[in-house]
Amino acid sequence: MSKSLRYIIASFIVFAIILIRLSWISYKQILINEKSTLMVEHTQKVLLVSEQFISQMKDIETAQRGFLLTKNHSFLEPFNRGKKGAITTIDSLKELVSDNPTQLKHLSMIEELCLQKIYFISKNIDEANSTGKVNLTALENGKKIMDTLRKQVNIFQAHEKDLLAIRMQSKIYGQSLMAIYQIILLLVSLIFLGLSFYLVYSELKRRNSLEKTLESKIDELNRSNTELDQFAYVASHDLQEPLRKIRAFSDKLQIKHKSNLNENGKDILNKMANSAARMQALLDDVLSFSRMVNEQSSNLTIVDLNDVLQHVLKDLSVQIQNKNAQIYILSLPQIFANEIQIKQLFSHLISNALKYTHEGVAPHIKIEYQQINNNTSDTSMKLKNHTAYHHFSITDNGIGFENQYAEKIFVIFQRLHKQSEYEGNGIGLALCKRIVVNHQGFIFAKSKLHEGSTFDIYLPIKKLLE
Amino acid sequence: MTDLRTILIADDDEDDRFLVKSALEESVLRFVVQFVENGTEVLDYLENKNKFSDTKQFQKPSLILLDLNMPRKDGRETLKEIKSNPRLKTVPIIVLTTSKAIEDVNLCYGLGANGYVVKPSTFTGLSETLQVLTSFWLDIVTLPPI
Repeated sequence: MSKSLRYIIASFIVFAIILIRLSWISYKQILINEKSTLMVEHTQKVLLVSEQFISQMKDIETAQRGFLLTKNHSFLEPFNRGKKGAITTIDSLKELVSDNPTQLKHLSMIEELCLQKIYFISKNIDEANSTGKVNLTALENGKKIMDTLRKQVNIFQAHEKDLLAIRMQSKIYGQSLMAIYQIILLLVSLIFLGLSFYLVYSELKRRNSLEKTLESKIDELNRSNTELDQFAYVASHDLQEPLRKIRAFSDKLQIKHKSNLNENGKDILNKMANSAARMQALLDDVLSFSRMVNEQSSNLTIVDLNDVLQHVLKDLSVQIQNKNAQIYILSLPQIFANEIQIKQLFSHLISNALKYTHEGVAPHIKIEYQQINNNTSDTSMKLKNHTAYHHFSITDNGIGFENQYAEKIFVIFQRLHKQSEYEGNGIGLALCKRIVVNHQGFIFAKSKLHEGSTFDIYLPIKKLLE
Repeated sequence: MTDLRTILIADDDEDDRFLVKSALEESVLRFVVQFVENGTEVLDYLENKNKFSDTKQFQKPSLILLDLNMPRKDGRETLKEIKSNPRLKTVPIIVLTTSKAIEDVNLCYGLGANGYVVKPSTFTGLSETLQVLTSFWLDIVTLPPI
């Protein structure tokens, strides 16, 4: 993961946490605010109901006076209504302040006074009814009780008003806190937005410029590759001309002027001719290599590798017979490839296995095939993830090589043995690698000195319509 | 001299001409060898134009050995012109070149070449090849009348 990407993800997570936290706090605050609004409403209701109680008590008092003055029974009706109402009101007040013990205490005193008041009034009415007289002392007592009641209700209301003030304050405080949270939330969101925009923008800009650099690099590379290919082709082609003449003239010299040369001269001439021949072989190899580079992986067809191997073994039948080689081939697939190149690939690898053998030991060559779905993230090999590969391996029991040369042997003209020991120009494996690369594949060699080598080839499985 | 058939050899390289000439001298001289150095000269020769106007000396060839890489008009153009000319196209043309490129082989046969031979690297090889070529085209094959 790139550094900047990690940076982006980290800052995103940090901001996400901050935003979630802030939102959570705001949500909590909303709940608190709602509760304090309810509390304020509740307190206001308590005050309202207590006012209602006072007016009910006043109604009772008024009804009593009316009756005592007029003896008119119609005054008893509002008295009875007020009596019932006052008791119900106290009950509902009790319920309203059930969570407040101080107010409950106040209320119980109020209730007692109220009951006393009602009792005295009832007594006064009864007395007036039976005697026809008004008991003034009782009336005065009633007034005293009423005053105490009023005072008590005032205490009750004052307490409730204090509560209201506190609750109002906390409501206002909560609302202003909420506003602050909202502003912070907005600011943080804006910063986050700005930062994300900046990061995305700068990343995009960076990628754009990288892309441009890459494109120009690719262009440059393509150009120099083409030039190099042309150079290799033209060079080896044009170098062939004088070389061919050297060979032809030295040949002519050997044939036509044999008699004029002594043994030493003939030997020297022979060496010259051999060197020229070898030089030409090398140039031929360069030519075929550069042609292979030019060709890339064009001319793709369905190739049956069983047929290809049969052809290859037929071409190599002389060597196979001479060395008494045993070749085991397991069933091979059909692949989508350049047939000529694939044939060359197997031809080179098998002829190498036939060439680099122990003196007097019959070569055993095993060609195996397996289809692999590379879902592992095994980076030890360069295989791409999520790509299916044809995996071929060619194993021999030849002289092998030290593993430190496992990569070097694929470089053109790199040889591990003298020309006189094992003939060859060092082009075969370079061509093999080129062919495999042309097919977007990979080739690896592993070996144990004196014990044999294995060449592993991985070719991505291509679909016909690709 | 008029009884002998003519082989026209087009090659810009003096050494190559020398080698071909020496190689042909190995066999009994049963034909006249004429050398030209580029494609323009081939056509001039065939049309008896310019320095080849002497029809007696420069007789119509029974076989042309054509190099591909020559200055001015190269072998490919020359081949194309000869093979698209109704009066000349019956003359057999063997391309004798250093190029092993499959593209050249395909192109030449496509243009109507009668054969494509990669120049042997050794003098012996060249002698043998020319021996085979001349005996095939001048002795075995029936050629159109000149």
